[in-house]
Amino acid sequence: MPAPARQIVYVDTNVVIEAIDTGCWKALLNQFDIRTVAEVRRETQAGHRRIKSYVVVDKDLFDEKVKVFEATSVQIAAAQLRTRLMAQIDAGERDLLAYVAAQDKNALLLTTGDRAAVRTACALGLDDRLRSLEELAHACGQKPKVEEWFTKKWLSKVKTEYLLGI
Amino acid sequence: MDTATAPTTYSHLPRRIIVAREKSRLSQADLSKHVGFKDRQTLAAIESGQRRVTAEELVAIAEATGQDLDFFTDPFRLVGEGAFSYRASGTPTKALDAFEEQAGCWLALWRQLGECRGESPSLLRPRLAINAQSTFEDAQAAGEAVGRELQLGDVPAEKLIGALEGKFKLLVLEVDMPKGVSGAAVQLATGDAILINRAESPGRKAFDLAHELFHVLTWDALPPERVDRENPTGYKQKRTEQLADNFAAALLMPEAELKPRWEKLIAKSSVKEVLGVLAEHFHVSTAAVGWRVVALGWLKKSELSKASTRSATAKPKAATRPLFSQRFVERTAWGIDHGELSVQRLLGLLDLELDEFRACCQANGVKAEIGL
Repeated sequence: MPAPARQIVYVDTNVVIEAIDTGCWKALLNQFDIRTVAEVRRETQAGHRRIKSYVVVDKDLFDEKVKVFEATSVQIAAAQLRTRLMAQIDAGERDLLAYVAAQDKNALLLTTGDRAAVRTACALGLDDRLRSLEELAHACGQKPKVEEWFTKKWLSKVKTEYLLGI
Repeated sequence: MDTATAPTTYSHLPRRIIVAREKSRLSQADLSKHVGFKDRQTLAAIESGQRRVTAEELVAIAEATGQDLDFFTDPFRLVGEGAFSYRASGTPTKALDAFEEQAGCWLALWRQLGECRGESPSLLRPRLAINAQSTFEDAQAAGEAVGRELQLGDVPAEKLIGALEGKFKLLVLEVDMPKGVSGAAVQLATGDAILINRAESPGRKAFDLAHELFHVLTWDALPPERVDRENPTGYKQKRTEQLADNFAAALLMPEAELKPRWEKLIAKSSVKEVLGVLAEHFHVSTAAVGWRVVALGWLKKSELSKASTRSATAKPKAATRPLFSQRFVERTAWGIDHGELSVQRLLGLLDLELDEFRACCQANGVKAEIGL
């Protein structure tokens, strides 16, 4: 009997870096079907250009375990026309949200820890699929000490504020 | 669903499609053919905002006009809008073009976040009653009058930025500019701006600010060149720049403040010494004081030449202002805090690294909660 399919989870650069920094990245890779878009992969390999103290991402491990997809121009344009908030996030976040919104209806989206990206995901109708890094790490039996903006509580607060129009 | 604060549609999209089409020298019929519309009317309806463009159509328009998608959708850039006038000397056009693209991001960022905060831009503009027929005396009188109206006090340079931001609703930014550029005036439908090169000495900066203010206040009557050279050659341009300099000198050194100090000092000191003391007091260069007293008839040109003030500048008495401005940085921090902008996106727009942005917030006295 084949093993049950693992839950698909999409990640962005900030999450990858925080997961590595807090030691739960490998557990996530083993537990879930981790996916992302090409622009995020590029960002993880280049490091955060504008953040000097970036975390080094193991390229070989990333390429072995993470499935990478390309967001198409039409997917990006569709998301941009759906919400103006798409203009307020950077290229990796933009491509990731556009791809997930268009492509993968059952996947979870591991949130970025960035308020603007969470609000944009909500505007694209992805609010029910957002999960915090803390939450998914717990599901792997990990208890990493993540920054506040990667916690379930923070995510819930930002989503609620968005939905209330605050 | 969109938030209540962010506009739900791209109001600039139809205009940007027109700009892209015109830049690529395509008629409505040509572009319609490229995109696959049955007739020109569909594109005409999109360009007039009567019909929404679809994602597939937008991608086709982008490909046909040779633009990227962000050209059409990015609210943090100026497309086909904004006129810049630089006070520059020997700066290559390429360097100005590159700076203008970057500066456009700052100005669009200011505008967009203002919209998100529900702050409507002021569409009313103060204008000076100065035109091509005006005399230098007219420009000086205007400078004095503006100083009085803004209640700039005995050292106008100290209060000028605050007054322009508060009463004229101008955006004044101190930024890093290409070599040879000391400042720029920018005319935008949603609010004018003045950019000052923060590498300049305080004396130069105050004068540049007042000079650019003249251009902002007379833009329609005396439209400035894109590059207003410090030593212009054409008569019309030279005349406009001289009017601007006369206005700036009178604004920063009002006669009522200058005269008693001049008379008291000149009685016991040399011209050179007096010019130095007054330059320090008014936060301008000694050359600016020299030309001001010549214009007022208190000193002959020949006496000014003897004092050889040309290379002398005022000591930097005033503290150097931090990058951008407090208002500007405060608004960007608000954007992050309210999820109107991601941190990475903001850093890209400002062309700063995270540590630099944190330092910028601190220097401007702005508290910002920045993750990552």
